[in-house]
Amino acid sequence: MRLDGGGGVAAAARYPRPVGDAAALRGAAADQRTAAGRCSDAAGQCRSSAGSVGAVWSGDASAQALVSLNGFAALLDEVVAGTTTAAGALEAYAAALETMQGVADRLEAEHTTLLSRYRSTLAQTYPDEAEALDASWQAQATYADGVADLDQQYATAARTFDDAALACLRSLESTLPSFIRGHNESLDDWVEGMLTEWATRVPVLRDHMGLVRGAVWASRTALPAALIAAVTKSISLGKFLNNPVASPLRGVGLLGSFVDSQIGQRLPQYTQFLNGELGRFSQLVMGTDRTANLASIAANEGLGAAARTSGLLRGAGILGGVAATGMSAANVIAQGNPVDAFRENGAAYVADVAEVGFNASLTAAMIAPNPVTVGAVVVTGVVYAGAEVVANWDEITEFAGDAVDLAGRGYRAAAEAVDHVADTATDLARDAVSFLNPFD
Amino acid sequence: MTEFQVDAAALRAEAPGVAALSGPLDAAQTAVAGAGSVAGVAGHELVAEGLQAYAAWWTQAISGLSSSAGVIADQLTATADDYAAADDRVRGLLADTAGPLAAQPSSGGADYARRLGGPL
Repeated sequence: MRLDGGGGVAAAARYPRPVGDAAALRGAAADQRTAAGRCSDAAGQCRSSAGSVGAVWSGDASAQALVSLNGFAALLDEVVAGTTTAAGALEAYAAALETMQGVADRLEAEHTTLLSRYRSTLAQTYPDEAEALDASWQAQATYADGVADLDQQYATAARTFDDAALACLRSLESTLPSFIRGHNESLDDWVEGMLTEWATRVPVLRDHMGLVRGAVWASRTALPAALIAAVTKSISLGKFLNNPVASPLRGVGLLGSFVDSQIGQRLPQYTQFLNGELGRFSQLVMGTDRTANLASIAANEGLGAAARTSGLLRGAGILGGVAATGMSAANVIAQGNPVDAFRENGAAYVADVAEVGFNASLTAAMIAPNPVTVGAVVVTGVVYAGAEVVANWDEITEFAGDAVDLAGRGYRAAAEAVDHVADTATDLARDAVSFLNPFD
Repeated sequence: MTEFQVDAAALRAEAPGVAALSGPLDAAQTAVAGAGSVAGVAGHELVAEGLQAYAAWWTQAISGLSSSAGVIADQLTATADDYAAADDRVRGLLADTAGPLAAQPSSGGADYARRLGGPL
């Protein structure tokens, strides 16, 4: 008896080799080294010229000229550093590319051998059907085991190759200025990079970079949520204070009138706070444009109406939640394909995704507080908090000194300041409208 | 009074050396641009993207530096010319109106200016 010789097996390459030209990449790397050498020579020539100019020209104008010439040489040094880094990155990646291509070729050849043996076994003639069937099973098992091993080898090699490509990308990006956003770089990291870069240009801050980096880290991780809530609460509270007649509490009878009167009595205090420390603080940290954008996000989503109709402070909370969800979602979307983003950013990406879920569930809970939505907040909040700690563990341990302590004190102060004003009104409003919600 | 000394001829002689920096910078710019051209054979989209970003930025940056070398050289030449012209004007002025002063040995326009009591 003779079996079919495996005609159903695909003829296409099972282990495709990456289409790349390692020699061309090495050539490009050599070109970068040549460029680095030329620029290094130019920098030396420039410094030599500066020395000569200084010898034949003195005075204030000469000093300025020497600053220009030496600054020009320093910029050439930057080119040298950048092109040298790129050359090294390309050489390392070219080697990885060749390795991957070699692995793919070897695995493809081994697979061809396996397939050939399999087909050869099936092509043999057997004395009876039982023996043929047994031979078929054994051949299939041998082939499957062999392919599984080859698949594993290919997957491992592919991961190594992907890591090499990512390392090359990161090295190339490291030569670029911080204002050029990196591949799948999160908005948080991009903004942090620019802030740190900016801080290094300010003489006073440059001498205290530990403090600056700690503050930037704190503003990136802890402060935004508090500030978004604070600012959005302030916006809604400010709207109400500017137009008390439109108070959403007007419609809830005597209790609403009482709350209005309580808030009215404290109006000068609130106004002073909103126009004073909080306004300056939020604008300083978040910027006027971003503060305004948060409000427009909510308005565009049509949730301004929800804010007006579902109670003053709950509405403010929804605004904050929507804004926070929007910012979190934008941060995740900016990182591109989730698989690639996780590979590149690891725990930080998990934290960003969890942040979206946390903010979204928090928003849902504020719109419709019930056991389901509140439970979702608890679950997503725990995931978010855990992921955030993991993602920032290095920074937490690195800046666990005075900088974090200062940042933490600043955060607590901000939170207490917000609580002092906004939560007083929150409690009053919650009492006034609590009967509207059976779960409140 | 601002104190200064300048040898205009020597300063002018430095300008060509600075201008010549454009040569190696232009070559470097070509090399960096070449990195972008191999993006198509990178074999991985991440590397291709990195090469394009790298080449785009550094080509632009080195081009700016190359142009700057010419600008600096022109500034040095113009400065030397200005000093030389001022020196000639002061020398002529002193020759016409201050015979005793003009008869004294001079080390250049800056020296005349200092003797006149103010900057050029």
